[in-house]
Amino acid sequence: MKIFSALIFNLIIVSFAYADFSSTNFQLENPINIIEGGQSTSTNFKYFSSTGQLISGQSTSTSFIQNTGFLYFPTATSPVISATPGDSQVVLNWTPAVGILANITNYEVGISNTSGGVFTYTLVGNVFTNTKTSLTNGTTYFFKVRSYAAGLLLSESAEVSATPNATVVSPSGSGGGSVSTQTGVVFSGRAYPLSKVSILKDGQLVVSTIAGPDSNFSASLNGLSSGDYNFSVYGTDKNGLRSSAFTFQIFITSGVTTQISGIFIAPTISVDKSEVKRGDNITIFGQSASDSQIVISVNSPQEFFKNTSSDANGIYLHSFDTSVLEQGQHSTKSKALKNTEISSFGDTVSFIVGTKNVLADNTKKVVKGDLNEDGRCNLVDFSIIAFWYKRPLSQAFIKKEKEYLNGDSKIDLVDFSIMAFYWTG
Amino acid sequence: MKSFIRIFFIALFFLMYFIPSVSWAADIFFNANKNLYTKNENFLVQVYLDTKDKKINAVGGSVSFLSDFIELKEIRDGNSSVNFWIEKPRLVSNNKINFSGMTTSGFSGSKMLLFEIVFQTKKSGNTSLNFEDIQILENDGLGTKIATKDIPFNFSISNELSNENEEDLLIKDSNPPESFNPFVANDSDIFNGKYFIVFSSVDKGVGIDHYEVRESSSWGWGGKYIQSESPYLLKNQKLTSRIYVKAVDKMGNIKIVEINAQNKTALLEQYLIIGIILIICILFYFRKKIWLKLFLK
Repeated sequence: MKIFSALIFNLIIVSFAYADFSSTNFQLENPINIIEGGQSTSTNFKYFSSTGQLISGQSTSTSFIQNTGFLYFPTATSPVISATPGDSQVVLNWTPAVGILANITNYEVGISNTSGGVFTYTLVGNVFTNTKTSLTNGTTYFFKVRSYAAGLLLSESAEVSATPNATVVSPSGSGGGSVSTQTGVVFSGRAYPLSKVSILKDGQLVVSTIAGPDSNFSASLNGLSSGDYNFSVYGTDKNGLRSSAFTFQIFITSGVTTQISGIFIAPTISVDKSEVKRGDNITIFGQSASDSQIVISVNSPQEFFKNTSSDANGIYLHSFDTSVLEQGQHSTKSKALKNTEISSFGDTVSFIVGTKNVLADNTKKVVKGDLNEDGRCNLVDFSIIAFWYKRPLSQAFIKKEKEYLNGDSKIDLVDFSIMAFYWTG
Repeated sequence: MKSFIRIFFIALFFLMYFIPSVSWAADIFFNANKNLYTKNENFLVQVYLDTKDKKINAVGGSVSFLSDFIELKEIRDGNSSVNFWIEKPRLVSNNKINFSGMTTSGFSGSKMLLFEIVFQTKKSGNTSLNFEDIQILENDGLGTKIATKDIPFNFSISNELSNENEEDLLIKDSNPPESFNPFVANDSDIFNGKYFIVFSSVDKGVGIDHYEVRESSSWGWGGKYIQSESPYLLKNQKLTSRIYVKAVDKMGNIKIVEINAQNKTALLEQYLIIGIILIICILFYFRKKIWLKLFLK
C-alpha cells in the first residue's frame, strides 16, 4: 500500500524534527505538525482550517507543495505595473507577483478617476496584461493590480496613471506618417534614501538618478523606438553594495510615453560574521526604503522568518540567535514591506554555523564577472570573455576565470550566464 | 492473479522511481504562417522560446535543415530578446545555423523572439527544421542548465511554382539602431594589454548589419570608417583620437556615437603646440608693428 501511495502521488517526503519555540514569556514544547487546510472567506470573516500529517516536513508532487508545521500565512511581491495610453484605451502590463507559500492564481485590475481614490476592480485571470477600453480621451485614469491565491488577496501594486489620447501615431517601421510625440518611459518607485538608482536598457546603463530622502525615485528615458525592451533597475546602498536587479520586459509603442510604477528595489543585505559559533548571535543588516518593515529569512532545513524595521535612513539590523540552526552552511535574504507594497527578496548571503566566530570582510566587494577588476560587470568584461570563448585559456586568465566565473578553466555559455546575472552595466 | 497485480505495481513503482520523470522547463520552437509551400517560395520562420516559469539569461545551439530542399536567404535578429550575441546567428555550413547569446538580468515569457530566418524552397517533398545542441541557462548566478524541449518544424513543399500569394517578407524599418555607449579599455588578457574599444547596439527593426569605426584627430578631422567588430584594437594607442562608432542596420539606417580623446595629457600637449604656433603666427602677422614699437621708439 505504501508502494502504491508513492506510485500514485510520487511524493518526496523530507523528515525532520521541529524545535521547541520559546520567548521570555512562553515556551511551546513538542509542537504538533499541522498542515494549513482550506480557507473560507466572506465579507465578514476569514476562516483558516487545518489538517494533520503524521510526518513533519514538506511534501511535494509535480502539481502541489504541502508545507507542514504551524499555520502558514502566504504573501506575494507587489506587481510592478506599466500603462501605455492609446486612443480611448490604456494597455496595462505587470510583472508576475511572486507568491511566498502560495501560488498566484488570479489578478484583478482596478481603475479610478482620482489618485488614491476608490478603485473599481475587475478579475482578469492569471495573465500579465490587460487593455482598458472605452475610456475618454484627455482624461487621466489611475490603475492598480492585485494578486490573488485561490481567492485570498496577497498583494497590490502601486498606482499608475495614463491619459488616453486620440492622436494618431503611425508606428515606426510601418512606412507611413511621422511620430508626433516622444517615445519614452517614465520609471518610478522606491529605493533607499538618497541612494543612487541605475537604469539599464537592454543591458546598457542609460540613466542614473538619486532617490529622495523618502526613498522615492523617478526617472525618464526618451528617444526610444517601437519594440521590445528589457529594462533593469538596481539601487546602490550607502556602503556601495548593489541590490539585486529588478527586470521588466515591455513593448514600447511609438509616440507614447509609458509609465512604469511601483518598482520596489529589494533591500541590500550583509552579515557581520562569515562563520558564527552555534548559539552566538549573527547580525544581519542592510539598507532598504525608509521606515519599512523588513522580513528576514534564514534558510536551513526549516526556514525562519524574523521581522524588523528600517529607520528613517533605511538602515535595518537584526541580531539572529543561531542556537536554532544546525551546524553547517546557511543563508539569509530579506524583503521590505511599506504601505501595501511588498518587494521581492533581495540577494542571498551565506554564512556557516560552526564552532568559532569569524568576522566577515564586508570591505571586499568581489563583483562576479568583473574580469578587468574595475568594480563593474559590463561590456568590457563581456568582450574579454568573448575573446576567450571556445579558445584555450592562458595561465593568467585561468586564475581570473576561477575567481570571477565558474572556475572550470574554459569559457562557455555557463560563464556568460554568470556574467549576465551579475551584470551592472 | 494477485501475484500478477503485485508484480505489475512493483514494476510500475520501479519504472516511476528509476526512470526520471520528464518535466520540461523551457520550450524552443519555430513559428511560421503555414506548413505547405510552393517551389521557389520565400518564407519566414521565427525562433521562439517559452521559458515557462523560469527566468533565463543565456541560450545557444544550432538550427539544422536539409539544403536539398531549402536555401537560407537571410537571418534577422532585430527586436530579439537576446541583448548580447556571443555568436550572432549565422550559417556555419550549408545546412546549419549556429547562435548563442545572453540577456542581462534574464527574461521570461511564453513567446520570446530569438531571431528570424528567411528561406527559399528549392525542391518538392517533406522536410523539417530542427534544433541541435540547445542549451538554455537559468538566471541564477550559476548558469544552471534548464531541461529543454526542442520542437522541430515539419513542412511540405509542393511541385507548384511560387504564386502571387507569397507573403510579403519585406520589413519597412526607417528607425536607426538604438543609441549605445562604447568603452575604451585595456586588459592584460587580450590584445597584449593594448587599448581596444567595445561597443554594442540593438536594432528594434530588421537588426544590426555591421559596425564601422573611425579614429580621427582629436578635433574630429580625418580618418576613415573601417568595418569592424567589437572588441576593436585601436590603431592610435596614444588615445589622442576622437573615435566615432557607426552602427548600421540591414536597411542602411545608421546611428553614430563618438568618444572624445581619452589621453588628456597628450591632448594638452597638442593644445600647447597649437597655442605656440598661433602665437608665432600672430607675432609674424604683426611683426612690422612690433618691430617699430620695440626698435624705432
